[in-house]
Formats: sequence, structure tokens, C-alpha cells
Amino acid sequence: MLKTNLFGMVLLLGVSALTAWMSYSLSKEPFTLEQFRVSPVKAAAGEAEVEIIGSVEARRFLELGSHLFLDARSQQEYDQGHIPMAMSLPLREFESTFPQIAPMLDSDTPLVVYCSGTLCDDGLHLILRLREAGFEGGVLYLDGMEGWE
Amino acid sequence: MKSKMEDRRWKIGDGRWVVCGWLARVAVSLLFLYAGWIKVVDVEGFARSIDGYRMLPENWIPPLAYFLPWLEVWCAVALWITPPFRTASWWLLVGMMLVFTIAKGVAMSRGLDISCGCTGSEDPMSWLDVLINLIWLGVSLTGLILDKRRF
Repeated sequence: MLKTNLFGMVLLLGVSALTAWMSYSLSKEPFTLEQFRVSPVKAAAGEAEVEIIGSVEARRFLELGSHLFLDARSQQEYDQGHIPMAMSLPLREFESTFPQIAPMLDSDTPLVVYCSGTLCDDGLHLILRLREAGFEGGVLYLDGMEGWE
Repeated sequence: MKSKMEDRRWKIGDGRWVVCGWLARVAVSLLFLYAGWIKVVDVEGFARSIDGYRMLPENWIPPLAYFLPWLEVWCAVALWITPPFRTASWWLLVGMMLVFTIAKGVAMSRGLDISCGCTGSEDPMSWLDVLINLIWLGVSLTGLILDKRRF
């Protein structure tokens, strides 16, 4: 009985592996590791012509005090830990929070916007919302809190 | 006499257990058929979901994103084939459900803000999803046990 079950399992695993391989081989645009390594947020930022910065630049901007850092995550996540001096502007509460922050900004204030990491697109969307509101100076710190920690 | 009574007791239960077994089989096969197929048609989305759990090395993810959905689909189909394949399929489905439940629990306890990647929903995962998985695990185990007893 055990042998029969094991045979059945091996057969099912084999058929699944074979079908998966065929699905990969017959696909016109198979999904590869190289594609996977490109963050979808990075690709979307490229399309929207949003500049991306890395951790080294982000730390330099913070040391120089040349940029205002905006945290696009929720207030709760911000309270648990954030980049020093960063202000909280949760994307999901943009309408209610932005009017409190807007008086501190000029249309050309250099901004660094971030969220939790490379798979998070809140930072990118926040930059786009800020653009709509007339604030063009936003760059995206793609690695966000993951990269900072 | 005792044997006759036992026999009678089993007969009374028979119909109910058969219905339970069938219901479990229909529910689990439909769930995995649906969950598997939506991943088959969106391999990249599923790969990103697996990556969100941050549990596996990067180079494992694309092969797994191709393999796992097909395993779900074939196991769902095999539930309707003859007993050796059916039982093997139940074991694999219970195993998968157990692994998925543990993965979700670990992700939640680590405070990851990710979507589950189970049935195509983009909503952030919650403890309710873990509970739902536990219920499905219970249904799968019921199906496996009833199938093994061959009511």
C-alpha cells in the first residue's frame, strides 16, 4: 500500500515537473531568473521617469541635509521605525496628511521618498501624487527600510 | 450479537461519511484546480508572491513558480482517478496545505505586509488567511482519512 502511494506521488510529481517544463519551453516569453531580478517597481519607475537612488546616496543626502525624506508607509509602520528626520506621509492617507506637510515644501524642495523595500510601490505612487500636486523634486529610494536597516 | 450491532452502527454512519468524503473531495479539488490555474496563467505574479515571503533563495523561485501550480492542478485532477493515485494526491495536497499554512504563519509573525499569492487576491494577508488555511487543512485531512477508510 505504501509502495503504491509512493509510486502515485512520484508519478504526480513527475507529471507536474514535465508539464511545468513544457509550459516553460512552449511559452513565447518564458519567465526567467534574469527577468525576476528586475524589480517591477524599478521598471515602473523607469517608465514614469522617476530617478532612483541607492543606500549610499540616501545616506549622503541625509548627512548633508540637502533633501527632505518622506516615508510612504502607514503611520503604524513609521512608528515602529523610520529613517532619521523622515516625515510620515502615508500614501493611503495622502488626502488627509498632505495639507499638513505642504506648507513646509516648496515646489522645488528636493525630496527622497521611500517605503518598505524593492517590492513596495507606495513610494513610487507617492512621488507621482506629489508631481500631480506640483512638487517635482522627488527621487525614489527603492531599497527603502530594507536597505536602510 | 455485538458484531451485528457494530455492523449496524457503521451502516448508519456510512451514508454520512460517504457524503462528507465526497464534499471534501469536491471542495478541495475545486480549490486547487482554481488556485493552480490562476498561477499557471500568471507565473510572474506568483513568483513575486513567493519572493514576498522571503523564505527561499532567489534562484529557486522561477522553477518553483512553474512547478507548484501544475502540481496543484494535477493533484486536483488525480483526486478523481482510481484509489492509488487518489490517496497519493491526498497526501500531496495535505502536505502542500501544511507547508502553505506554516509559511503564512511565519510571514505574519515576522510582520510582512504581503499578499498571500494563493488565489490571485492582491489584498494584504492577515491572520484570517492563516485561519482559513487551517480550515482547509482540516478539510483535506478529513478527505484523506475518509478516503483511506474507504467508506
